[in-house]
Amino acid sequence: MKSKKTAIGAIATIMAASITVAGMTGCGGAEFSADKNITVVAREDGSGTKSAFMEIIGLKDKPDVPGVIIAAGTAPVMQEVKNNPHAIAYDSLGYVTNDVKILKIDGVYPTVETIKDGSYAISRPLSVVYKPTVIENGANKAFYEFLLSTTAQDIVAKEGYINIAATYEYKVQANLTGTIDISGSTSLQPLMKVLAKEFESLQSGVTVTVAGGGSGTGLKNAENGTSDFGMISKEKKPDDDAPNCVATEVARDGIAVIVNKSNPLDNITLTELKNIYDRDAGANRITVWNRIVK
Amino acid sequence: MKAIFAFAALFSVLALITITVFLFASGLPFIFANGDTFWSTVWDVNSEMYGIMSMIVATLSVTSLAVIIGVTIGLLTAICLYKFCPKRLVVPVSHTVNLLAGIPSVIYGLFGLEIIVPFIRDYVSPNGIGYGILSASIVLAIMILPTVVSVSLDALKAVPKSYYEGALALGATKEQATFKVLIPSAKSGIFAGIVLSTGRALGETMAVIMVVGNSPEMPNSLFQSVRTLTANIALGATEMTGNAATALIACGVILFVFTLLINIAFSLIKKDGKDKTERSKRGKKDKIKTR
Repeated sequence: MKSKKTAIGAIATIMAASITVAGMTGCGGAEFSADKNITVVAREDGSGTKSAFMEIIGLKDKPDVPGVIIAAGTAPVMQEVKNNPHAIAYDSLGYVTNDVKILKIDGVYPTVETIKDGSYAISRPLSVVYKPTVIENGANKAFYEFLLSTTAQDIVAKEGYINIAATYEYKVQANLTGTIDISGSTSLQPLMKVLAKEFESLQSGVTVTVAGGGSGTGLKNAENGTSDFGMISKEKKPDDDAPNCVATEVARDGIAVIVNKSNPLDNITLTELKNIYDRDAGANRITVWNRIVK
Repeated sequence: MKAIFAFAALFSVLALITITVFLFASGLPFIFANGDTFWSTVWDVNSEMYGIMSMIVATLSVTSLAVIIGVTIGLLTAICLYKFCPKRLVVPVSHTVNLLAGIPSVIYGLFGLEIIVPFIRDYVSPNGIGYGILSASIVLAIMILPTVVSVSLDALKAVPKSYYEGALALGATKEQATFKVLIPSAKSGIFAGIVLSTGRALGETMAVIMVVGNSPEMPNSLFQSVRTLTANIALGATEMTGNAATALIACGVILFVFTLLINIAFSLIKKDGKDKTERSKRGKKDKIKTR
């Protein structure tokens, strides 16, 4: 009995101590200094955000720069940029929170308008992929029609993504039942979950499951029939893993370039961005902040 | 009824065989077909270069540094618990150490990401990079502590009391008796603990991914983003297809061979230790008989 009490006491002490330590490390931290190296943050190979970003800045299929920090997911990216004053990263605009600073690209800040009219350079399509036979009838057909309706596209806009032009409102079908399985890009997943919920409330006989896995998984699952719809966050190519599938864009997403809040930089040019992420830029490669922070 | 028992027993054996066959059947042909690039240091999926040498080096550096830190702290903890710690603190401290074993590895990863990486970046690292071998090793060292402590403590407890007391009687100080008599006698048990914890550090994935940086480069600094074999497999497993996926399985083969070697080493050391204790026990019995 006594030993148990002591044990609990010791654990409590340790927890208290660790919370203190956590508080200290959280509050401290270095300040931004332009003489420091840029901590380049990237995503893992196969990430839709990464391939879209690298393609747009002109570094399609190039390996990352030496010393890159590869964050396995959106949350670690945000974490690193929030904590590290010298970090630069890219992330889906829908994911970016107030904890970091979004940079203008060539003077253009990413907003719904600038992405729609194309003046913001870095944006990508979010699409569903499916075999054409899948949407011929039943719940899948209804869901496909729903995705392209104003009903769904209004939600897309409300969630902070860029909607596509829709011409009709979704009509609820009587006695529709079934299950719809969706998987793939983690960039589209949160939006798809909201859309699926709305669809389920409109069509109470239908169950929609939305899983992640990444764009690669989405293509594979759509091709081999594991999922009815795959989600991808890059352009569909004829030579990818789903040759028998077609893609339909359901929304667009901007990719934000983010830095720490203590970083004085507000604007970056596409060329500067390229020279940060290009390992073969030679003398043009930017590795220290003072090359771009005046 | 017998059949059910037999099936249950066979199940784990079958599982092992299936995993081994799966790994080697798809991994080995790939290794042989890509022999020259596979042992190179360039891992670039886009240009179909699947060299894993830098990741092998990174894995070994992270693991060995983790074991050095973890074993030093763990062994000293075990000695403290066994000899020097006030009796009423022994239970709470050993409880706390054992609790560490129950924390899921992703929590260690979060802890590393939120506390250790920022701390190293801001106060230790010369180049402002917190990720890398040092951070990963510290996280892993904490993870292997329970193994090191409990196995070494058991080994120390197995040493006959008379050894220690005999050393004291011959005029040795407590420290001398501990380091010159107690530890050498518990050597094989302590080594078993080291090998066991090496296995755990080598195979750990989730916590490592979150703190090691994951850039597939040859390590030349403690503060450099590197990628371990386990991290490489986990990062690519859900996204990669075709040759790249096979390359990941080939990484799995290498990892499997490493763990196999460690397990063989473990059983050899254990067997050696058992032989010795049995011999000494037998010796004692003989003595008693002759007396």
